[in-house]
Amino acid sequence: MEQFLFDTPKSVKELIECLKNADESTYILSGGTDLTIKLRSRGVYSGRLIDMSGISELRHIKTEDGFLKIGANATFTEIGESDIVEKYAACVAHAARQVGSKQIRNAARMAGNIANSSPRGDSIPALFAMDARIRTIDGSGKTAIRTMDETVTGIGRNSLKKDEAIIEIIIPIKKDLISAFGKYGRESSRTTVVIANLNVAAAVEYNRINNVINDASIVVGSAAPVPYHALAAENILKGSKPTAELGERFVAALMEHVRESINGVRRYENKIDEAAGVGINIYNMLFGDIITGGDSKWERK
Amino acid sequence: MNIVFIVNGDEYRIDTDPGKRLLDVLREDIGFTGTKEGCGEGECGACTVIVDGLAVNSCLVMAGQINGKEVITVEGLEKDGELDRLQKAFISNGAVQCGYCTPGMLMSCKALLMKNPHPNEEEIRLAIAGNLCRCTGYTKIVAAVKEVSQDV
Repeated sequence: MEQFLFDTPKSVKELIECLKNADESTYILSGGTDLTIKLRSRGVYSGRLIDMSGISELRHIKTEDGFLKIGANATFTEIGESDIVEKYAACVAHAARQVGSKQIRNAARMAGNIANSSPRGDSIPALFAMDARIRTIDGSGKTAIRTMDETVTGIGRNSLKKDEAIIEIIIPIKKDLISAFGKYGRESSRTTVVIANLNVAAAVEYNRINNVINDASIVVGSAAPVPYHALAAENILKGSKPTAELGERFVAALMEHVRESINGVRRYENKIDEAAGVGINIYNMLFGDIITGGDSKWERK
Repeated sequence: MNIVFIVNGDEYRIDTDPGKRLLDVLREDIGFTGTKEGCGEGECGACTVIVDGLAVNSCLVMAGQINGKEVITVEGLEKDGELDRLQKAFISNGAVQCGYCTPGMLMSCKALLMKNPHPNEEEIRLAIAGNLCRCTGYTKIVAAVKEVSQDV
């Protein structure tokens, strides 16, 4: 009977040993909530599995040298509940809390979500917006650092080699940064545990004293094979003061980006309206209190 | 692969395919058929069990991943022939109709109560968001959990 070989390295040193012999039939199990389904649906019942869950040194969530560092073994539950992720990368914490169900978040890892490279993955746009870097290690013990767009290369495709595993997610800590994540779920009777039809992550550097947005990173997911920067929406925010009028222009730009990405495909047209809804929520999360004085939500005219 | 793990307080040593789903190990290898298979892809929560104190979908966990772990299934809720308070509350509140979702629903609620003995309604609904029930409309399930949380 076909069977898998199963390795559970207990340290990064042991992981390197496991990766040395990696080949086309080697799979890295980083939570496994996607991989389990993928292997079964492809009828793969043999090969070698390397389970990352035993590596306690990769379970960290910490700040170090001006970066927020999330070990590959931290679960979505741990990331979503982390005070330091909320403080330095709120959009990543928001995205982590919106992944699947409690059961999924207890098992799944952000590193696995990145490697799975689904265009609907929730954490990926948030990490793009935060300019996150991915640290990997290979079978020779060599580490490498990649940007998100160097890592996620297409629908279910990434640039990781067979003998390479993600070991850490690194997010630069920036002064005056505020961020938010919004998602519109696929049409369903459920209000949670929904797969994203559209998701948007925003990370902006906002100087409260001068009331000016110095920089903006707006990333749209689930509208193209790979999340992308909404450049027009970013340019509208950069150098501006957050006002109701700016919100109107921001949401309109976001809708235009999504309109361009769906390229006239009618069954995706609903994503344009979803961009408006998600855009309003995001703008409110970022600047709602500043515009309304905290009394109410900002609304489009 | 030889796998050693604890289910409902008892140690099991089995020789099985490490890529086999925990759901199948429980049902086929050691006979705990209380855990149900629904969608088989982590959407419905019917197969929920507790591993090291956390609710997980047993259809998405491989046997190799539970080596050295402690699993609680719905069979583990009853002690010495007496149902757990949560099970009694499900019955008294009419939180069971067809019953197919019930083992998974109980385990999600149990995992919540183990971590947070006094959850509010929002916390209860969030904890069972990954468990589909097509009969009860969830209201009676939430009422059952509230009842237990008030008893503690």
